[in-house]
Amino acid sequence: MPRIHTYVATDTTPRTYADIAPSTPLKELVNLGDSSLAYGLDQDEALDVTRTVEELFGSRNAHVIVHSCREVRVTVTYGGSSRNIQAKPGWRVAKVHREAIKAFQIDEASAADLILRLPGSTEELSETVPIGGYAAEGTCSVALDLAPHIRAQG
Amino acid sequence: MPGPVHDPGLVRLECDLASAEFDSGVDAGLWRLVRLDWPTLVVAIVAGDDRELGMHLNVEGYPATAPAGQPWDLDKNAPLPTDRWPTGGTAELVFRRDWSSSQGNAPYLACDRQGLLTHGNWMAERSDRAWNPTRTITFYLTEIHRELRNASLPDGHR
Repeated sequence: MPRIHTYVATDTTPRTYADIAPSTPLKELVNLGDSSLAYGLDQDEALDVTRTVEELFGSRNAHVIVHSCREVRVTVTYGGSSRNIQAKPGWRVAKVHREAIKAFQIDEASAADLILRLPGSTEELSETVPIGGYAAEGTCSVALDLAPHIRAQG
Repeated sequence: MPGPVHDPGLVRLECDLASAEFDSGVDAGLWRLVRLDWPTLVVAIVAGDDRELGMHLNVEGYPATAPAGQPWDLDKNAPLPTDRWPTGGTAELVFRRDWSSSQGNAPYLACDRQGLLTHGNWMAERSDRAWNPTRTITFYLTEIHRELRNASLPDGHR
């Protein structure tokens, strides 16, 4: 039986439900409150939480983020300039990275040496985490730096 | 009678292989588990051309000790010959014909056991990229996958 990992706004640590019965409606696993929606990762459209996990995900392990923002404005700074990307809360950081590379018109070779991180941080963001996990529901925005990835050498 | 005694490293690895971060990479098509036969883990990591690079990891001592990896032929269950290693992008900076082939085919990375053993300065100077006991197997896979994003694999790979 699949595992369902659920994320919420401003929290990149998911809650994992293991051995979920396929007939379980998603709404039993997530709390939408008044205005939130549930999104699958890298998906643009919200999930119908009245459907079962089997109907939504088949037998696969799945990832869901609950967020009140319909879009997240990601401001990416690179080389002293900034670009805004309109992302869905469920987009993985990897997808935001691809969109940032496009927005700055960076060639493939150079893109391989660039990573996303929070301003002031030296830690690369995990590419498999949803961007909504970094975005506060009040602002629906997050600022990131596109920074050089420096390999260990010598 | 007492039950079987499980190596704590195996318990931790099984937990990490069931984690959201590992599953998310599988779901995103970045990597997959091929098999776990403690203390050996075999995984497949997807390159830029959508072909898979097999990696054979010795995970003895996990997570206190870094995994020791080498490219692996998934069909023959044997080390991958250097002429079938990934090329292009930054792959050749990591799968180095001049260094890796004399170091058990280890990738030239600070998350790998052989890299750390041969570079005593990496742990301190490149702590952001180096293995430490708080890392998980997903960190290792992420480090490899990054170098494969713009790489390709020769014919014969899946």
